Amino acid sequence: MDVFLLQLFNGLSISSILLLVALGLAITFGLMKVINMAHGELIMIGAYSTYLTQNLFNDLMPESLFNWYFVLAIPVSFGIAFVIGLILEMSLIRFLYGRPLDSLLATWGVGLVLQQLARSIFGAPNVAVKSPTWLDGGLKIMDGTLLPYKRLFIIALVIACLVAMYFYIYRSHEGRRMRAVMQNRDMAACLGVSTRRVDAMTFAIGSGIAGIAGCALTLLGPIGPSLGTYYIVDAFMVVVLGGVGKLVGTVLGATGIGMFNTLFEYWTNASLGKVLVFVCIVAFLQWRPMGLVAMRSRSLD
Amino acid sequence: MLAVQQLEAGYGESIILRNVTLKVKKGQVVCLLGRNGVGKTTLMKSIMGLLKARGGSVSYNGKDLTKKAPGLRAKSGIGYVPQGREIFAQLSVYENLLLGLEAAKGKVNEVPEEAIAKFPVLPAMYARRGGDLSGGQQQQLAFARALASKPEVLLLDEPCEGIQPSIVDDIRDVIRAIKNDGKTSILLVEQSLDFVKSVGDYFYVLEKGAVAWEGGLDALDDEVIRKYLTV
Repeated sequence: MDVFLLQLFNGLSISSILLLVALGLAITFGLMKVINMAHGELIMIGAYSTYLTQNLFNDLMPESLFNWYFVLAIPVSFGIAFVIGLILEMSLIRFLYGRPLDSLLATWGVGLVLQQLARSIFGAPNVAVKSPTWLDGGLKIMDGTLLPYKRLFIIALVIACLVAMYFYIYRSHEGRRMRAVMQNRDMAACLGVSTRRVDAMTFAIGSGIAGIAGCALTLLGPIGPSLGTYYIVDAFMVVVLGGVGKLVGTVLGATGIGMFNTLFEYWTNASLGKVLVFVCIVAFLQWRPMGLVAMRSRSLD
Repeated sequence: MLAVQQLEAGYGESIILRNVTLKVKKGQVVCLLGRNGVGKTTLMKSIMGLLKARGGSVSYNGKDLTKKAPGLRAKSGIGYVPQGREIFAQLSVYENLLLGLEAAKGKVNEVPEEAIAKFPVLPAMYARRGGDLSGGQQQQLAFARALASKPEVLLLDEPCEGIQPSIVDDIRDVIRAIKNDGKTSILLVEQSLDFVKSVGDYFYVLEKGAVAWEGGLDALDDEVIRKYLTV
């Protein structure tokens, strides 16, 4: 029983990390169709922003307040990644809409530049971010079964991000404009929507969410300039499996991959488990190339 | 007054419109006629700004719009109901209407009554997705969406294409009602001669991307029709 519960929790935990990493990409790739290879580096930027916040707290704040740096680190990571995403969109991405191969190459190049930049500023070795003490330990549900608070916190953070994104995309004026532009750019423009502004905001928000993901990743281990490269493949896999353009699909994709990953690793071992997950994804996409949640409608196209 | 002067436009290498000059005066219903492929939709798109003009100008109330983006033209009072309706399929009917408010003057958060009143079927379908509506319903939605911002000029590109006769009658009534109000002028592209004759004040006939004939309702006789419009 406890083995089952623990595996279920592990699956959920991996799913939540995958989802957090993929959420930003669900916007930049899923909605905007930009193959953003620099997504991993935006995650890395978020992680280093958390590192910086921690250092600032260490230097400037009394020690008693140190534990609260993480609360501030989340918006800071979002903000810095948001601004960098905005700059990236205005200086580069906007010239590459509708040119997937060019944007793939260009964003990959940007990713390399950002990695090197991080290496020059923070040095090549990994740095450690000390997680706040209130996230140490775990929730004991029965003997020998401990659910670490950090993992629980990440699950909560993902849910919070999802809810915020849902309200922004589906309930706000800005979100309505965003969906209109992504579905039918010309018509949205003819109605008076400023498509330039919407593009820039959308990309920046996707980047900001990548920053939050980076912030969360500091809880799991040390961070380095190439942090993003470990996650970029997973992120694309989640979005493609889930079905491009749908938030629900991304959630299902992340849960599916996370759960199966845990299951297969439990049955076999870590590397074979990963291979099996990949095989399943490839087979599934052969059967349903549009992913789990495909857009279907009586639209006239 | 919407004025198009010596407009030239096209796609890629090919030029579609040559030297098109036309005017839509306040409160007028101006109809654009012509066989398939003479450039009617291209002209509508160039007026709206979806196609860049190669030469000539588009101006509204003396303000030059030739270099302006579609959004700014919408905000200066031009509403557009495109061919194929272009409803946002994944958005709800109500959201589609709210997007019509983007070009409205000032901060408006509610769709004006008069835009809806003309299409009484719409409120019952607010929660449905735009893409799930039938062609005729989508056409009415596109019409209402364009009216939501209270435009001063309305560009209607084949509003009756592929639509059942009763809704065609409804649309005719709406156009007449707009005309009687006298606040909004209309530039209408339509294939059905009966339809344009029943609503139009002034007519332009395009041929090979240029204005081949223009005149009022009385002048639009059988000879003109035979020469420019019969296939």
